[in-house]
Amino acid sequence: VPALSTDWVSRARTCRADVLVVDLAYFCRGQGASREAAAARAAIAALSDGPAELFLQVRASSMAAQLADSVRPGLAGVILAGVESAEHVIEADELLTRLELSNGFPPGGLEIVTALESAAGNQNAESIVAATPRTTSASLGRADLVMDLRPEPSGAIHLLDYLAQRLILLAGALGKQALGARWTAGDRGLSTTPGRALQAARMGRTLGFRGSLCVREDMIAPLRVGFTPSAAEVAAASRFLQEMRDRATDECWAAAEDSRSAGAATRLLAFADACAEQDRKLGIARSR
Amino acid sequence: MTMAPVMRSIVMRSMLYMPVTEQRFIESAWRRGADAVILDLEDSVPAHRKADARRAVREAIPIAARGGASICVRINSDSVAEDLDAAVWPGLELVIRPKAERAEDVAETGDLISDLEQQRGLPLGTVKIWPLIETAAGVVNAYDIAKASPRVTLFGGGEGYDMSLDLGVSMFTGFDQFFYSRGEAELAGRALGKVLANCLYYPDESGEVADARWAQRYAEALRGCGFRTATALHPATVAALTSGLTPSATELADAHLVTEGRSADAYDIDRARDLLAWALLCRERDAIKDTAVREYASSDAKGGSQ
Repeated sequence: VPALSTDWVSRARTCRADVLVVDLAYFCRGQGASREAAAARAAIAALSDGPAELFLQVRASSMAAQLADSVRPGLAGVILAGVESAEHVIEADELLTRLELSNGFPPGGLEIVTALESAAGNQNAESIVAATPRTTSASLGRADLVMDLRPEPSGAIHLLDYLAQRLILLAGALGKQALGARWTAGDRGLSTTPGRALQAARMGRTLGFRGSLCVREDMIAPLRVGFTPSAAEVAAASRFLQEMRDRATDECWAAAEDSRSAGAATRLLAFADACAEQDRKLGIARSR
Repeated sequence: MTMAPVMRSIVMRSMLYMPVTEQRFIESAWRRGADAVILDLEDSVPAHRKADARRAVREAIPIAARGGASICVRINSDSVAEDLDAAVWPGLELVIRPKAERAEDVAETGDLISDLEQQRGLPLGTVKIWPLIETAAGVVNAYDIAKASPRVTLFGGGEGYDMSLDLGVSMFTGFDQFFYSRGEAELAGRALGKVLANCLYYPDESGEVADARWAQRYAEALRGCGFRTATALHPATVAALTSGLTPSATELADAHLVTEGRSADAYDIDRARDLLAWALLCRERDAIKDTAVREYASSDAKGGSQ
């Protein structure tokens, strides 16, 4: 949601995204710090009582100026775009601590999401993501644009599958969430058609992503559907667990192998429940 | 003492490997049209001819350069000092250091080159290094290797024959078995601003090194992804690589439109400017080669008629 676009801000209230990101990093450049901060404050005030979590996206290189006048009640956290080193995150962490104190927020409550968009950022991903417990998630942001990654003849975006795999592994190892989708040629800058967004989300979920950023309203529903376990998956997991319970006395079913399968099914159902709860919050009718 | 500037020419669309022991190959190198000739001391030279190869390098450098090509030497990882002693002479631009596994491998190579440059009156820093990442250890240490010396200008790898041997996997599989290892090497090179080489998978199930049509498609795929360098194991592929990595007329026209600001974002404008600069460098490189070939052909004809 570009902070300076009052039209976008007003539409965002009803767009039913899980998370709204008020952007000061990409869509408001060169407008002047005070105008941007005022717009961010207004956008946060307008969106903070809605059902979606609210984040503010700032550039790591200019976060001090962008955050100082923008952190307001209702904000869940900050996305640091273009972060390249752990020092960037530590600086953000300290800044947020000061802002929490001065604004009367609970200490440590504001989350950080790191967007690793440059080669340096991805090279230093491990130290960046581990830099503070505030960091809950990491994404590749607009790495395709920032690193000028172009389509291969196969239709893949060069290097993106590797970067995605690397991020998912690192985030998993550090207990954080990886955000992204399997974008392919034509999905430039997180912008694509609804059909392609659905495909990217489905494939992204199979890789280990749990959700993705997007820049267009018509991508929200496809991403939500693509990242939500399908009715068939939920039914299969439920059936499997029911069979487990039915055979609980059979020693064969207590084997470790089946425990792992049961764990996977249980996690899938828990995630499906969480998705359903979120849909209820957003007022989305369940069509499955 | 100041460091010499970067390589005389960064345009290395086609880098042709030649066994330095094959005199007739070296003599005809100027006709091949390659942007760079790699005098090979490694895989194409059998063990019993390594000493002959070392003796041949110094004389081969000016001969192979007659057509305006940059001269590179691929050394052996198990005889680095001896190979460098044979290779670091005027006219050498780049040392290819195979099977780099640790930062120390590259730092030592750089130190030896510095000593030889000083001894032989070459400006310090003239000779650059391309460390090849060809083993699992090299992949794990890729960033440190790329960072080990300011002489490292080209970087990439994590694929190829030696990598497949090291990992015990097949080479020509029809799918990208090296996507993660190649990615590790490329990311390190990108993070440090190196010229990237050996960074793109392109299906090749035959391993035919003289297939010019495959080389053309491969070069175009490289160009499409923004890469600018490729190596050739056979002269038959040189022209395809050179033309495939040169911006097309359509691309140039599009780039001009973009830089004129017609409906483009900042990313497109940066890319277009970069392409136009690259096209200029390619034209300069081609002009240098054309002039060198004409002059050598002319002097060769005069010498032959005397």
